Amino acid sequence: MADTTTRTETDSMGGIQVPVGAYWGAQTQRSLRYFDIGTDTMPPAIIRALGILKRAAAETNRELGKFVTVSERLRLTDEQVGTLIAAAQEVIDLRLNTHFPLHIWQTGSGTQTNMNANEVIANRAIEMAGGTLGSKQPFHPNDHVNMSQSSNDTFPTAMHIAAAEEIVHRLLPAVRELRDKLDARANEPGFGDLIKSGRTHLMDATPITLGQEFSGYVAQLDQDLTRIAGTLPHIYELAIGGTAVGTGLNAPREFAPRVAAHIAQITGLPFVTAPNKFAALASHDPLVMASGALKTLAASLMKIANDIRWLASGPRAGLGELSLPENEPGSSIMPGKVNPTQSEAMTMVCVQVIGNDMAISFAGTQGNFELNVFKPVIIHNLLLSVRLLADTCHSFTA
Amino acid sequence: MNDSLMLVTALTPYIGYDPAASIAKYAHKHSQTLREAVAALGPDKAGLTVAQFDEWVQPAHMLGPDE
Repeated sequence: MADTTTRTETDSMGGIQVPVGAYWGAQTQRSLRYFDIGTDTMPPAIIRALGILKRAAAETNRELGKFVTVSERLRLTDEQVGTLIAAAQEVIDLRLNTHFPLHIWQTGSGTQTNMNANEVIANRAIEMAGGTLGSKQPFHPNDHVNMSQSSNDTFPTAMHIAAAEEIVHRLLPAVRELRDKLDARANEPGFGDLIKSGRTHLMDATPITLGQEFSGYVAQLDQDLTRIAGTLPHIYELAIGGTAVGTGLNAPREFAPRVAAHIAQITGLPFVTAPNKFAALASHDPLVMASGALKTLAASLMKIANDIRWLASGPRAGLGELSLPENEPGSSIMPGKVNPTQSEAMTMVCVQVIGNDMAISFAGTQGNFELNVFKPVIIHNLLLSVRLLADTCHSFTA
Repeated sequence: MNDSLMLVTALTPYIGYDPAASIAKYAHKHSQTLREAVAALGPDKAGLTVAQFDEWVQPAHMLGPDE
């Protein structure tokens, strides 16, 4: 009797049952079966980045005539390529996120997630064209969605797109917001001009104003903003066009620069093709560097958050120089207790970010010959650091 | 070099990913080179002739993008 809850999908290994409501195919289903590891799944920023890349690749292949020059059996019309692009756009717009179920802890190249994107876009395009899911007609995940690409150049490209978008649109504005708030307090009459005892070695030292003390925090964050922005130029360099080992086999010569230009146009960020694709596949030095800048921001925030909670300690038996907003009860047993919880959340984030940096640094050392196969763990930790730092800065400012 | 099954990658633009994978799997299973597998399968099953194989699969032509 036919099973109505699943359909058969095939790949080079044979057939496998996939839930009927899912756009993913055989390779995604195999990954789910063999890599049921942990609860961390590919973050939305990576899924969106793959959508951007697949749209840009389809546009570039169309421009270069690739869909016409392939064998007759694989040929697509301009209208069909338009359908492929429309399906990729749905991935970009995060409308198909539930169809990306794979875990971080999978193949180190991210191949299964690249195939997840290829399968979802192919099947969604097939559906739009009125075809049968899983038929690979007229859209094939490898031959069309992955045309002129390899997982080895697409996944590192998606890593860079996701990292850049998250740093530029999420982290930098949140750090600026905190920096501006601290700067406003430093210059606020009745606050910034308060004269207090400076402290060195935790012991009384010569006088200082609260504004002078806060100006140090602002300067630290200014440096962090410059440092983090300084890592972006190499993140804007994309691996795409290198294909399997960096040589560019099976991609047209013009593919690499053009697809980077399309990605720049879609994102509004100045992406370019990486000058050396071998390094772009086999190492992740730009992301290790970015993580270093995030770790440095964590070091700054740890100092700032710690100072502020110490200055607010009390109210009767502490330093008591600052009073923090009383947002929520602090104790289940001690009535009326209020704690410096925003500082606690921020300092915990800093600890996590420093730990993430250790993982990223170690993963970054592990390239072998033409490929680094620690890609998912690198981007998982980097995007986690970016997200946590942005959110804690915003939360602390609010 | 000619023993490497991953030379089959050069065939995907001509015959597609799935037929190319079938050739690589057949060659692996029968301890053959790709060329031997194409000859054994014949043009209908392989999706190409041995002459086309010799034209399309050349390591020295697999070092860069398509011109």
